[in-house]
Formats: sequence, C-alpha cells, structure tokens
Amino acid sequence: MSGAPLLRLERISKSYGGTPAVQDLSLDIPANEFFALLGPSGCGKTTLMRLIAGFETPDTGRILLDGIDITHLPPHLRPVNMMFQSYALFPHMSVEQNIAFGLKQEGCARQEVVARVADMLRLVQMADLGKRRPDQLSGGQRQRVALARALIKRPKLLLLDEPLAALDRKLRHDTQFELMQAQRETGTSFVVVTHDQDEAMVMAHRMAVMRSGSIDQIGSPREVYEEPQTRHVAGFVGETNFFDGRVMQYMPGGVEIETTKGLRLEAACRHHPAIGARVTISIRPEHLRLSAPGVFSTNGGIGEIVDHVFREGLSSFRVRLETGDIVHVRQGQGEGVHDWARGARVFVSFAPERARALVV
Amino acid sequence: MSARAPLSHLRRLVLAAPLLWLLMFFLAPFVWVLKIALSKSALSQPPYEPVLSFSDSWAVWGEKIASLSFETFDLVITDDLYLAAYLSSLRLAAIATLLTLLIAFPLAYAMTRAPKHWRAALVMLAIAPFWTSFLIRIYAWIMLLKDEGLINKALLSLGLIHMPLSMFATETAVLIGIVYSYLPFMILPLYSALERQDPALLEAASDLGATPLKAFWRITVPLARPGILAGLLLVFIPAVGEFVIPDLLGGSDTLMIGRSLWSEFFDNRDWPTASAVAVLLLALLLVPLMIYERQQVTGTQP
Amino acid sequence: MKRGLTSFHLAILALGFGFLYVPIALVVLYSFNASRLVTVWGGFSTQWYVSLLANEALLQAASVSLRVALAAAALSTVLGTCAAFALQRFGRFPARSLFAGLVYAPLVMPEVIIGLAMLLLFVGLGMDRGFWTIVAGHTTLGLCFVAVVVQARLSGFDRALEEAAQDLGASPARTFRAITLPLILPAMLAGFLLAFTISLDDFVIASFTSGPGSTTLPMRIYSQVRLGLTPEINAISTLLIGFVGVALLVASVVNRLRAPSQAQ
Repeated sequence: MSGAPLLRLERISKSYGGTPAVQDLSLDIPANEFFALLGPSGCGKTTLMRLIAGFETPDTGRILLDGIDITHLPPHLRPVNMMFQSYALFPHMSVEQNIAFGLKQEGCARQEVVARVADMLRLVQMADLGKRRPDQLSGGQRQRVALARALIKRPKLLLLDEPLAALDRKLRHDTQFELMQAQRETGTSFVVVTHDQDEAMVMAHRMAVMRSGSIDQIGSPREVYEEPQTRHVAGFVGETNFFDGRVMQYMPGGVEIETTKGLRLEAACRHHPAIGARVTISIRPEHLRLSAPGVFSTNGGIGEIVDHVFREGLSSFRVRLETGDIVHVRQGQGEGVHDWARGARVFVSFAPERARALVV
Repeated sequence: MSARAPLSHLRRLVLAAPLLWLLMFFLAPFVWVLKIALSKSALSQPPYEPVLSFSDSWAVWGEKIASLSFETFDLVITDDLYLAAYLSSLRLAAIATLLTLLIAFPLAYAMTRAPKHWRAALVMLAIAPFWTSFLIRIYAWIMLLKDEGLINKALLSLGLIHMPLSMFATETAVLIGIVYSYLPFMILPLYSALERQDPALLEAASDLGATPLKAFWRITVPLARPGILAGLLLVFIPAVGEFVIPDLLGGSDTLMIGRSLWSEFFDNRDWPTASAVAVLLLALLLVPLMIYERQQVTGTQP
Repeated sequence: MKRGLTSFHLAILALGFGFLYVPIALVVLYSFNASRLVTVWGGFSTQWYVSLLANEALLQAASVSLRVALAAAALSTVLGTCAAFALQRFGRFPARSLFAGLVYAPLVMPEVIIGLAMLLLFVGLGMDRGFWTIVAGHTTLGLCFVAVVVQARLSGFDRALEEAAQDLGASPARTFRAITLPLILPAMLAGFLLAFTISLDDFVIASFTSGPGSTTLPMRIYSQVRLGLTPEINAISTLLIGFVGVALLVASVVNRLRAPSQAQ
C-alpha cells in the first residue's frame, strides 16, 4: 500500500454536553476495503459514522478524504454516502425516484439518470419493482433500495449503519454476501457499523473494536479473533473463557499464573507483565480439551460435566471445575472425541500456545 | 374491526342515541332549510308561506314539485349584491387561509425542532387561545386596530407616523381577525404532520447532495401535504361563512356572505332568502370538501 | 443538521406565540385601567370589576351561559362517548358512513348555517325558543367534538387489556367499569371541558336558538362590543380568560398526576 489512505481520521474528539462520545481517535481506511466498526451500543461507533457523514462536527481533530480536509464540509457536499439503519426511504417517492434522488441533486442529464437507475436496480435485483412505493416492499427489498440509493452517486466511501439489523435471521445471512458482492463490484470502500460480531467477522476485510469512545484494536477478523489485545476484545469478539490471576513466573513465550481460585495455568503472552501483575487468560472453547482425569494431567483442572448440547455438528459442554469456575468447551465430531455424559468427571486442559494472557 | 356482525341490543342503544340526536338536530334542520328556501316570503309569523308540506301524500308532492318556488334562488343568483358577497367571501377566506398557512408553517416547524420535553407545552400554548372566547379575541383586535387604538398610539408616540393609520373597519382588519382566530386550526394538523417525519429522511436527502432548502421542498413539504390540506380546509370553510369577524372588524362595505345571511334573517326578516343563501353557501363549501376527500383517497393509494 | 433549536427557530417561536398572546395580554392589562377610555392608560384600578357586580343584565346572562354550558357539556359527553364507541368499535354497521358524516360535518360547518337551520326547525315544529333550544344547539356541536377526542383515545387503546381482564374472569360489564372507563376517562373529561368552553363561547348559534329571557353572556358581550370599547368588557374578558386558564391548568395537572399510574 502506498500513498495517502482514502479516509483519515486525525485525533477526533466529540462530546455531548460534557459526556465524551469519541475520544482522541485516529483511523485510516484505504480504498476498496470492507471495514467494520464493531462495539456495544454507546461505544461511540454511531457518532463516529455521523462525523464521517457530516451530520456532526468534531470538537477537535480533522477528517481527510483523499487528502482533502472535509471536517467542516456540510453533508450534502461530501462525496460520502450513507445507508441509514431505518433505511430512511422517502415514503412519497417510488423506488426509482428514491434511487434517482442523489443524481438529480447533481443536475445529472435525464437520460443518464434513467440509465444509471436501471443499472442500480439490476445490481440489487429489483429491476421490475422500480414503480413501487417503499410501503409496498418487504424488509429485504427496502434494504436493497436503500443500498442502491446510497451507491448511485458512486461515492468514494459508503457508510452502512447496522445494515442488517432490521432483517430476519435467514435474510441477514444472504444479505451479508450480497453486500460483500456489491462492495467488490463497485470498488467503493464500505464502512459498516454493527454491534453484531458475526456480521463483522463474515463481511469485513478489517475491523475496529470500539469501547467508550476509542478503538481497542484494529485488524483482520482472524487477527482480532486469534490475537485479542484486551480482555474487552477477547470477550466481545467470539466466545471465550477467562481465568483471572497473577503472574507467578516467566515461561518460554509466555507466563505461568495462579488464578484467584488457585489453579496454576500457563499461557502465551505478547506483553511483558511484571511478576505478580494481574492478568487474564483468555481461552476459546474450541481450544479446551476434555480427558479422563489421570496422573499426567497438566495445565488444567478437574471438573464435572453440567450440560451437554449438540448443535451444528459440534458438541458444547458446560463444565464446573472443582474451583467453582464454569467453563465452556466445544468439540468437533471426529476420532478421539469422547461423548461425555452429564455428571462425568473430566480433566479440562489446553495447550499454552492456544491461550493468551492479557494484561488487565 | 369485525365485519358486519349483528349489533347487540346494548350496542343498538349506544348507536341510536347519538344517531337520532344528529338526525333530529342536524340533518332534519337542513331539510327544513331547503323547504323554506323553496317557499315564498310573506309578511306573517313565521314569515314564509310553505309550498311543500310534509303531511302531503306522495301524489300531491309530484304536482307540487312542478310548482315549486325557485324565486328566492332566482333572486339570490341574479342579485349582484349576493354574487358580490359570495365572491368577496371566497376571496377574503382564500387570502386569509393562505396567510394563515404562511404564518403557521414556520411556527409548527420550529415547534417540532424544540426539545422533546418542551413540545407538549408548546402544543398546549398553541391550542390555548382556542379555549378563550372568540369574541374576546376579536375585541382585542378592535382595541389594537382602532384609529385611537393601541397600535396607532404606539406608532404615533414613536414618531413613526403623524396621522393615525386607518386599519379598523377595513378588509385588512377582517383578514387579521381571521388569521388570528383560526391560526390554531392550522398549526395543529401541520405540527402533527411535521412531527411524525423521521429526521433521518432529511439527513438522507442531505447525504445524497440536497441543500437544506432543496431538502425542505422535496421532502419536508411533500410529506406535510396531508397536514397542509387538512389545515387549509379547517380554516377556509368556517372562514367563508364567518359572521362575527366581518361584522365587528370589517367596515360597512365589507361584504361577506355570513353577514348577508344574518342581515336577511334578523334585519330584513326574509327567511326564505336567508335559507336560499345558506343552501347556496353549503353547496359552495361542498366543493373544497369533495376535493379534500379525493385528495385523501389518491394520497393513500398511489 | 442537528435537530435542535437554532436562534432562527427561537425567533419564529417568539414571534408566533407573541402574535397569539400579546393581544390577549393587552385585554387583561387594560382591564385594570382607571381611565374610562380603554386605550388611554390612566393608572391602576379594579373599579371595572366592581361595576361588573352591579351590572344586573350581565350577571343574568352569565348565569344563563353557565347553566347552558353545564347541561350541553354533560349531554355532549354522554352522546359523544356513545358516538365514539359506535365509530371505533362497531365495525361496518349499516349507515356507518352516514353516521360518520353526521358526526364530522358540524366540525367544519359555518355556525351561521347550523344556527339558521336549527332555528327554522324549532319554528317549524312550533317549539318555544329558550334555554333548552340553546342547549340542543350546543349539544349538537359539542357531541361531535367529544366524539373526536374520545375516538382518538379509543383508537390508541390496546384491546388486549380488555381481553386480559375477561380472560381473568371479569364480565363484560365489569371489564368496562374496571378497565375501559378509567382509561378513557381523561379523554371524556377533556371532551367535557371542550364542549363546556365551546358552549360558553358560542355567540352565533345561541343568537339563533335563544328566546326572550335567555340571553347568553356572549350575546350580551357582543351587543356591548358593537357599541364600542368599554373597560367593563376588558374586565369580564379577563375573568373569562382566568376561568379557562385555571380550568386548563387543573386539567393538565390532573392528567400529569394520572399519567404514571396508567403506563401504556
């Protein structure tokens, strides 16, 4: 990657009546990227998006698009478009009129408007519904009209506010792939705001996990999942088990800790905590192993199977350790996998390189 | 709502009470007005000679319809004074209605922009004048507009004018009176239409490149159309038939049909003519009502 | 793009509400004017209120108006609530559109037409005009306003509440008393107040339907206003404004006190 990024946020801050919504946040987004802003509600992701669209002005900091400062440009002059969570389709206009709206504001020639609207209708597979009104469309169809309307001006950047939130489960799944396809075909950078980590994991090239107005971690979905930098990220992206404790000694590539409940566990560590420092071990359910309690059992604890659920080809167990911790274990169906019954005594363990000790 | 189900006895009663009342005191009077409008005026008590009588058999009715007296209608239609009064009522009511819209729209719009916890109070403030006596509100404007009234007093003492402006007993005073009296009727439907609008729609328009002014014309105004139409209707129809305002604020030359009706009835004691005036006024008012009804239908099914 | 109030909006609000309220405020202010010339300020005085008490005809008219308004508002509330139930709950009964038309038409009909029509009917039927004919006229108008207000409340009414009560063993009559009535009571009260003030305020219909000895307050005020400005009118106006103001205040306070107990 060379040259300036498509979008650059420089040390943006924004607060409402003294309550900070975004704090000293910087972010670069290159061209042709599918980027996700992920976080719980109230983390500032929506404010961040509205700042980029121009509906809000930052208290401090700059927003650059293609190297040009757009911080104080009003929304109607920004080459950025947005797909609203409610879709905000104009109820008094047909699908075609809705899609054509943006081009008409540019004073586009009539013929070109007609041709480009037809193109967009084809892109979102709505070619024969152009004359309908928004209230005559299903939820999925409305979503596609909103996408077409936002894309027709060929914006450099498209903002999508919880694009799938209003759809039912099945439709959400299909729409994810349609959005990815639309991004590939148009070459526009997509910035999706979502609170649903599944959506971000499936669609995004890169994602930012936000918390209380700032970004905890940026990376590809895989990096964020496998190398979470903070306890918040580990907990928010994917399922995980936590063990809180203090560092006892350094090990090759990691640390050994004693948990608050008295277990001795070893885990990889990317930081350099002092001996005695408080850390949390995060270990994904699929990296926990179950075995019969034996003499050579290390890096784990003995417990009892409390629940067993079989779903989508995976066995999920809830195990209560003797220390009182409840852990969640997931196993695929294959050789060497024992079908543990409820009440069975098991040894739960993990390979240290699979777990991450995170500084609290 | 359930389809045509037979109504229980209790429900029949609940329906019958208001229905009979309205048939008796609202519909029947209009039939009576028509009957008297088709009568000849007379110098008796009551001052008309009925042509139609409800005790006649149907056979007699047939003959009588042929000999109905349309002379009052003839009079009302051909007399230039009535024509002038109708036209002048329509003109004044139309101008006043448009003025009301021009004042009420920005006001209603500003009300929707106010913080949520203010809005209920603002709506209350907008309706409250409607609860105070109509006559008092007109009286207030007499106080303000007279030659020796408060506005002239203020302008004179500020040195802005040297002679009192004659505002009282003019058409301008009538227009002010109508706008002032009917403003709440315009504000309310506009406010409820504007308040329902999703603010995201304006953001979307702006996001798609519309300037604030363009977004206002292309989104806010068209979406407020039902409210605008309702407001126009609620102001225009009663304004056309208004009597008190032209009588108290207008000059002796301010013609309005409600006033003509009143003087035919009370001063000239010509009941058939007054009734004919009422029937024609009613017919005139059905036109905007029917237009509104059609707009409602086309508005809901594009 | 913020949906807040800009100074532009504030200016519009100030101008608009100023236009609505300054004339009324001036009427009130000049009722305390010592001068006999209404628009010439001659110092503070309450003498016009005192002279009101001596005005036999005005007091008589006020008492007629109050009694008419009470009777008309009570009748309007009963009939209007019935009409609202019929419109909102009875489905598509025969003659529904006629009925709906009859309920909505008086709302926009010029008052001179309503008044004239009623008078002609009363004369035709040979009824003596007086107290009860005015009540009949005002009830006709008032019941339509009550119907609209109560119907609005009923249409926002969750019928599951009534179904829940019946499911828990309440008879239809008991359901009505325990659930429906308390929930629509504020609307009925608002309707009553509306019908009451409309009756108290009406001049045109009363002029047509009244007879000898039943002159209402607005009729009396009107004939005085025609003669010119007198401070007594300012005084009686101020009393009426105060009366309505207190009623509105009480109504809104009652509503606010009730609001938490009926979370919808």
